[in-house]
Amino acid sequence: MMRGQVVPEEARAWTAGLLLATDYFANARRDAMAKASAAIRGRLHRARDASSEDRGTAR
Amino acid sequence: MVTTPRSRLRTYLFLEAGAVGLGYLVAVLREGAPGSGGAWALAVAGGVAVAVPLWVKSRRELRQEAETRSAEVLAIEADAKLRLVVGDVVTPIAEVVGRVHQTSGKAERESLRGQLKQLVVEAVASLCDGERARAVFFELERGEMRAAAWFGRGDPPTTVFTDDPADRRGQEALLLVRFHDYLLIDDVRAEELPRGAEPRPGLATGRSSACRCSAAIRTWACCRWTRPSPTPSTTPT
Repeated sequence: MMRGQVVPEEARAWTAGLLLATDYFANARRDAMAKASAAIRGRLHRARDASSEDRGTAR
Repeated sequence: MVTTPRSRLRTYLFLEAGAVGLGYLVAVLREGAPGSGGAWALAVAGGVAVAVPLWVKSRRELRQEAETRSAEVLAIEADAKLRLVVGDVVTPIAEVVGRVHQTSGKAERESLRGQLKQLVVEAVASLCDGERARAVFFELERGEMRAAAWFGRGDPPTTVFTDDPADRRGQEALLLVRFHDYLLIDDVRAEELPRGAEPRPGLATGRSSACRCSAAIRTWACCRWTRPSPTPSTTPT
């Protein structure tokens, strides 16, 4: 089960004017890149593992 | 910037080349070193014949790996952009839009609207892939468009777009709003500009300047982004 805030604290701080846009977007960009990197590499690894398992069962 | 982990392919290729070279040497020298010049020439020709396919194969594998890595980097960048736009821009802005509609007080609603304009220009400037991006939100009122919110500049924008016959640039901008059009200029120095718009020298440095104007019924927003370069650039707004 996953549960969390739709609008994170940092985003709330930005929309309320408590956090500078430059700081907010610098952090957001870094987080997005880290999450995307983990997600894409995870997907690639799973695809690679699945294809190697297929080759193993085909023998 | 996306960093990719170092691959072991080069190490494997180096080991493979060493093993093949060693195997060839053993095969050639097993019955003693070549005795004549002709025999040496034959051994060298054999070495070249073994090395060429090995080199071609290594090149092909390195190229394939580079292509895979660039595809991976592109996929990561696309995914990151999507996360940034949906999670970090659209969702918080949509929440403020919801608050504008839910709030009952007129003063609070106006305040939220002003806040919303500022959030939009901040997001637009931050999502443009360029250095020193600027964004301005122009509001149309009584036939004139004035800057209502801006980001990326210290001084407030003074440009006012009007329907005055002398203000050709203003007429062009108002036509964009009227016809719900957008305008994108990749390079204001190289491309044709709308009538009345003139490149403004010394405003920013950049090899490529772009002006994107998105029009709406009552509002008109314009953002400009530049990439660093030693030559000065100009902008029509």
